[in-house]
Amino acid sequence: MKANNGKQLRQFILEKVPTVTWILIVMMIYFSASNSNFLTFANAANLCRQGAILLILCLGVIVVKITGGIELSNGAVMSLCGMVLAWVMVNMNMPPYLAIIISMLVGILFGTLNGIFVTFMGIPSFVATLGTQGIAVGLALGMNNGNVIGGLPEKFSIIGNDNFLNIPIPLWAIILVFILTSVLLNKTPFGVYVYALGGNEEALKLSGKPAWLYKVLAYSYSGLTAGIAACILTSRNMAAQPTVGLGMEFEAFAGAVLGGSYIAGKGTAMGGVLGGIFILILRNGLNILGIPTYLQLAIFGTVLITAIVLSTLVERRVQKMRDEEREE
Amino acid sequence: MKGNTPLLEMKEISKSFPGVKALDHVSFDLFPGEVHVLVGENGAGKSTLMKVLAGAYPKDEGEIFINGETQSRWSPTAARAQGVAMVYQEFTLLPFRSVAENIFLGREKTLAGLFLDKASMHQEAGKILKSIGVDVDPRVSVLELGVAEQQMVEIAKALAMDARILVLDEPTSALSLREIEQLFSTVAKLKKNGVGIIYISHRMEELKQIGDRVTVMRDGQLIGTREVADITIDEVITMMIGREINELFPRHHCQPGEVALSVKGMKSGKKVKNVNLEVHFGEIVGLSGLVGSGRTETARAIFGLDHMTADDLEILGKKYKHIDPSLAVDIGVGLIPEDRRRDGLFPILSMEKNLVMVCLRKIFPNGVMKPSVEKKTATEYVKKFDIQPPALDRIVHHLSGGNQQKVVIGKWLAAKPRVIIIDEPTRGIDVGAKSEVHSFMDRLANSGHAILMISSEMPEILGMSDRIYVMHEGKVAGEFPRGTDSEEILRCAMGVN
Repeated sequence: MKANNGKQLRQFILEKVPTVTWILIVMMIYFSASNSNFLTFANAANLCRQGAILLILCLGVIVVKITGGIELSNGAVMSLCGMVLAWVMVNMNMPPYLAIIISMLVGILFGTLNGIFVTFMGIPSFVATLGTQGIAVGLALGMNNGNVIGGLPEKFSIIGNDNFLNIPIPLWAIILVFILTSVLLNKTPFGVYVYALGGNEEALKLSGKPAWLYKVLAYSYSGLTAGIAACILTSRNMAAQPTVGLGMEFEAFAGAVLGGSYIAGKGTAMGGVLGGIFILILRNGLNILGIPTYLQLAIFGTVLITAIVLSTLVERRVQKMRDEEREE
Repeated sequence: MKGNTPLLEMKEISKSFPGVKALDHVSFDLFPGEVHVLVGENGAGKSTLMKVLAGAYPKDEGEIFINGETQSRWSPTAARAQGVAMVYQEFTLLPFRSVAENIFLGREKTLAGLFLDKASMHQEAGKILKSIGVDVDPRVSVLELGVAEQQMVEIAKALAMDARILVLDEPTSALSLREIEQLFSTVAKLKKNGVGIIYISHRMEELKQIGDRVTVMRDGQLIGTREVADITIDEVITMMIGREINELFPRHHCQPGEVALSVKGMKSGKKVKNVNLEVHFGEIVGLSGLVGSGRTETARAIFGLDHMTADDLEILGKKYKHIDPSLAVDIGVGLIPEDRRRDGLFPILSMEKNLVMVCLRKIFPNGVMKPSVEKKTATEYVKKFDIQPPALDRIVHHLSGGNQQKVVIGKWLAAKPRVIIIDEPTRGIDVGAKSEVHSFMDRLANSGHAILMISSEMPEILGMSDRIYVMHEGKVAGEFPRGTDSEEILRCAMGVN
């Protein structure tokens, strides 16, 4: 048994800690060493405010990803939620708290639509969410003829810009959504069913549960996170822009995949957050190093693929270690 | 045990599928605390009977009684509610989740109806596992368990649902000797707790070890139910076969030529452990064995679809170290797969496209396709095989099973192979098409091709083969000449003697 301890520890580290953590640490050391501006309080605070949106989206995507689905609509849905949010406040004089609820409802509605397309119509999630993306983009652009909605009530800026107990409110939002996702996944039967959907949907059906319902709810949850993210983003900019979420779905998806759920039935809220942070820091670090935008895109893609390949290799290694152990 | 009300009684159950009577007035019963073994050849109707029991197939005729009460509405839900649980050969576990979560999937214990009560789930799961004598920590993920332990978790899952009728379908097929012992001691504990167990197995020695009664099925009919203590294994095997061959097979034996395919010491994956075989030109060699004995996997390995190692692999007089499907086609090997819809055809393409698919490189060596040549080649094979209707643009999905099989065979012959491996040549096709396929095979062999035929149908093996290899648990366990009787082959396939 004792001789095995080293091996067990190695296996534990490889298995329980998302691979992206190590890559993240290496990257942070590199950026800190290359530029003194990287490891400063100002940059960290900036990252928090900027990053809240992506991290919250990642937490939604990871739930869909665990069920074995792909979510590509949340960037556009977030834009639409922002437009609705601003529109009801400006044109209907709705109080911000009500507007926020409406924004979340729009998000949930679109997520649910995704879920319905996937479960009842049997459309692959990739196609269904791409279609919803189109609908959301169209509606967001149509609402104000493609123009930005500005002139929001003064106090609405609190959400994106103020602090509560010295911590920026967007950071509170991340913490809350993180705890919510974590509790849902780990502490409720719903979480078990989400993992079951990805791991072995047939087993869930055989146990007599309405598998379709939980699948729809997983997509609804991702829609909700898009609604929450829209509130922070709109408040930060004090304006709603119909194309603001463009490309966001790709980053959120990449974050969720990096967080360790490229296999259906696997993944954690922590992994989703770490994957999101990885993307944020990579983008931020490349900016600080002054790398031109076009080159940034190329580097971004390369690093992303490398990270996923590394994670896959680790996954295989762990599986092999397990098989060997069993043979002994 | 006798005199009690049976836990389960299935009376005169019949079930037909288009063209086949899968169950013909079969009766079956089970008492509490009994292990009732169900045996029969491939396709005898065991699985169909169990699917009727699970509610997965509606029965055409017959009645089901649970504890003496007739069940008017029988469905998967009703079966579950009455305590029927199946442990399938393929597990339905979530690999990344804990044992406890798997055992309670769908019936989680909660606090305030909202949050998982993991502590009590672990405790309960631990209790259930202990009650069947299994030492597994309910907290570990299923991925970390061996196959036998996973099976125990499946059984525990069934028990957590208050199963009183437990169906174990070939539970030992993937287990080692030590693991089988563990399973048997679990079965003994279940018996003591009054659970009735239906045990499907191909392994005769297990019958004597754990069975109380045995029921033999053949061709969808009940042959008999006996006390295990009063019957010998030989008698069981005789009951399983007992069929005269009433089909005529058009095999005109001819003198075999040189060795076309020779495999020595081949291993591949988990199912092929040691295969030695030889096929000569002009010969049809039958490869028999039970489902899961590694026949299909052997074919896949020879064709290079799965990774394999062999001490010696010789095809058409040349030795090969490695082989892949593209090389196999080039040197003249064809594989006509078992599941033609999935592996043999492009269902939404036309007959013409399907027929030329394998020989494209041969008929268009410079890489440019000519519609006229394509049409000519396809027409040739449509005529040769009398495919009905002879419409080249017909989408193969709409053809009958027999005609689809002719397309698959035709597309391979268009590539002019010398060695043909054919897996279940006549599965699911009607009698007329069957005899046509058999005639083609006969003519192919007599015109100098080497044919390796895998078949689960004993009459086909006996009627078509010039020589017969029998596989048992990944190994070629025996070789028999034409004219061997089916009993000897079945004994070999089951690993008796």
